[in-house]
Amino acid sequence: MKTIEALISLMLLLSFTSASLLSAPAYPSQLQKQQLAEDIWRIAYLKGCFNQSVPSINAENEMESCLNPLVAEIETQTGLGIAFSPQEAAGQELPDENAVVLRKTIVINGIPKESILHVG
Amino acid sequence: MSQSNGFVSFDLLFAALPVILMLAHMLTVAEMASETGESILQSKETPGKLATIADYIVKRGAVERSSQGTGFLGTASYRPNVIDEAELGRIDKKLIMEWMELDSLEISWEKGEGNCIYRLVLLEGEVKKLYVCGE
Repeated sequence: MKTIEALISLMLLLSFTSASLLSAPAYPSQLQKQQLAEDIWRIAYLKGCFNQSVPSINAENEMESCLNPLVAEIETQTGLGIAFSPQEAAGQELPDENAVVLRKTIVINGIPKESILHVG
Repeated sequence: MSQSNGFVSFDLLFAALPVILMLAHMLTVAEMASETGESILQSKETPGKLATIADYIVKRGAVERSSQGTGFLGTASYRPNVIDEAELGRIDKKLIMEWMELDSLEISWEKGEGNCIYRLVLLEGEVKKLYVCGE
């Protein structure tokens, strides 16, 4: 009898454990953050932030001037932490350690350089 | 003798009763846990489906496009993340719901009912959130 009671208690415990281990997914998930990061990059590109019509010693500053208001606007709409580096363009909130990182190559004065976007 | 037999039966009944009650309770809890697990698994599946649908809309389904030439039915160039409202209105939501086995699907500029995800797009040069909601 005691064995039966012990077995029933064990099965009950396993039911509770499995129900508690299956937790609802956090939003946005890493996949969705990745997609949003691609969207942010694409919008920055479409807005011409990475276009350089003529070589300029102020190229990086011009990029930052284009990126900063865009980042602020997207941050207001989404609440996401966004930061571009080495172009120093970031919102009020910095991305956390779970941020998605996108690495892209841009051309500044004819020289390919890496640009890193953090979204989190 | 008959008095001792009756005593044994009573003892067995009182011993078996808690076991029967525990069994009944365990079956009820197991059923509830199974229903909870099923709904949680479904809630993990639906955002994935919505993400797929949103990706299609933002990269191809509702974007601005231009056609060139007539060879091989012409060459279309698409502008991902640049939404054309007319193309957005032409999206066949019923067909997509059927393919993705969704009960409901809503694509709009406002957050709707049920599970929702959003993508960032340009509409007439303005940054906007395009929501894809469904169950």
